Amino acid sequence: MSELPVLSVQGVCKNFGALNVLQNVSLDLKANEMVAIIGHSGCGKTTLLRLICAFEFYDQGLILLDGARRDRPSKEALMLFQSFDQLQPWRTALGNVMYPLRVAGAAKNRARELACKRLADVGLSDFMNAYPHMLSGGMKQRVAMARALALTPRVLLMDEPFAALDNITRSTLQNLTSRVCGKYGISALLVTHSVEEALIMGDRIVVMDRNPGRVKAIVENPCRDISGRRGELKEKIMKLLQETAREKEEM
Amino acid sequence: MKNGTELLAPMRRIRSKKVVQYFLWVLVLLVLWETAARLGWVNAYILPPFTTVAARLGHELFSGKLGVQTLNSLWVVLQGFAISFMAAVVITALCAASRLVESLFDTLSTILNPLPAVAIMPLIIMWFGIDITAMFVIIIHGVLWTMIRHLLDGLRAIPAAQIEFGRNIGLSPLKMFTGVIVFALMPELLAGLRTGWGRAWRALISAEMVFGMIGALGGLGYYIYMGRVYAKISDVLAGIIIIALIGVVAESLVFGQIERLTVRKWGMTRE
Repeated sequence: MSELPVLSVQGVCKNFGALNVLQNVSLDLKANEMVAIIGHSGCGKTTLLRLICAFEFYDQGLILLDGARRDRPSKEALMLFQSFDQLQPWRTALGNVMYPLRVAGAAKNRARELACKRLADVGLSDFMNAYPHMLSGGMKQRVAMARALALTPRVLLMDEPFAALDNITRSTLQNLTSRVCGKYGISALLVTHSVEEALIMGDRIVVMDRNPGRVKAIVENPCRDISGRRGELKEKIMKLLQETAREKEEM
Repeated sequence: MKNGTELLAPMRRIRSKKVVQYFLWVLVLLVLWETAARLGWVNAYILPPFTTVAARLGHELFSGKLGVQTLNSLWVVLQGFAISFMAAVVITALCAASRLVESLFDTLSTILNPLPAVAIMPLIIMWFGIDITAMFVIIIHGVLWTMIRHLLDGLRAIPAAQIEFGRNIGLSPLKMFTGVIVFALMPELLAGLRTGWGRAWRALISAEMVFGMIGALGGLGYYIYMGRVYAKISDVLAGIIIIALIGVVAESLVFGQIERLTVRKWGMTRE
């Protein structure tokens, strides 16, 4: 049973009209695994994620989540978007995390308790009552991450969630994401443009070709741990550098 | 670390400064009006002094029929406005759920929105006669299409990620509307309410002037019209001032408050 992949994409094809976007794409995602998908623009990375969370239908092949076909979007395969406006501006950070829990039927107190814990996981305990417009881009993505974690999806689908962030914030969030997904046993697919990000976050790296989009190679990444630690170190050093710059300004 | 209240403090200062400016401008204009009339810069028949008009207004409001006529108009506008608003919200919900319905109302509002209420008045009179139903039809025509226009435009401007997140957590169309779309539409909803409120008054006053007296006393439009018939310029101005005042009160006590408690607080519009 433990051998059954959480997510299995088998020979998937997708056309938009006459355009063949994805051709015979196959990949598996094991429990607790994080797989990075990398490729040039237009190789169908985002389309693949949208097919997996059933926002769109594929033309051929099969996508199985826990061995079953899903025809409708569900929180089991949850998307984390790149855009900062994925949060609901009319709810506080806490409200944003609580809302889907309440929709799923959780009692108010239970939802609040869980939301507080997950916001603490992403380091936002002090900003629970802030509205999204008061938060920075990185903090908004953290809220979105907390919201996703609280829903405990089987697969977290990340569509370049850190692409619009500055270097230091990106690095921090990469490490944070690896950590929390590991902590809660959430498997994840990460679409990225950055080789560095793929190395830091992916246990395996799927390299995609374009026109039509297909899997070029799947590369095992034995140095994810090391890259991750390297990333953490880099983050630490950059923070120190930033502090020295600030100290200089203050003098 | 700043919390929300601290962050909003500067905005509050800007707002109170704006209110002061607002009153100062009104005061300047009124003083100018008074001076122009008193010093004979303009003929007193064309423009009697503001104080004369104000005195007349007070007298008419409390001892004449004007108070009742104002309430009549207000009541008709409120009903027509409420019906239009509810219809617009229901129609928008249907449009959000179905592309086909959306294209229908997109077409209808494109055709009917620019059509002035006054333009269809003869038709409405022929269809419904001169009575309160015709009045409501004219107001609803004036308000409904512009509200729908605003809401449909708003529907298209909702960030895709908010809708897709809703789909992702399995929201039903109804929950998607009540939990996501209604809130995301608030800026456009407010714009629609404001434009609609103005349109409702336009439609009502035109109808009252064309229809004459409906019911025992008629409304503000009839009052202004009769002021013109009897060449009582102070009455005409008093009627206009009342309409303007109702607009100011609606803005500051209703629309402005809703805006402050919703889209402003949520950072969906700027000061």
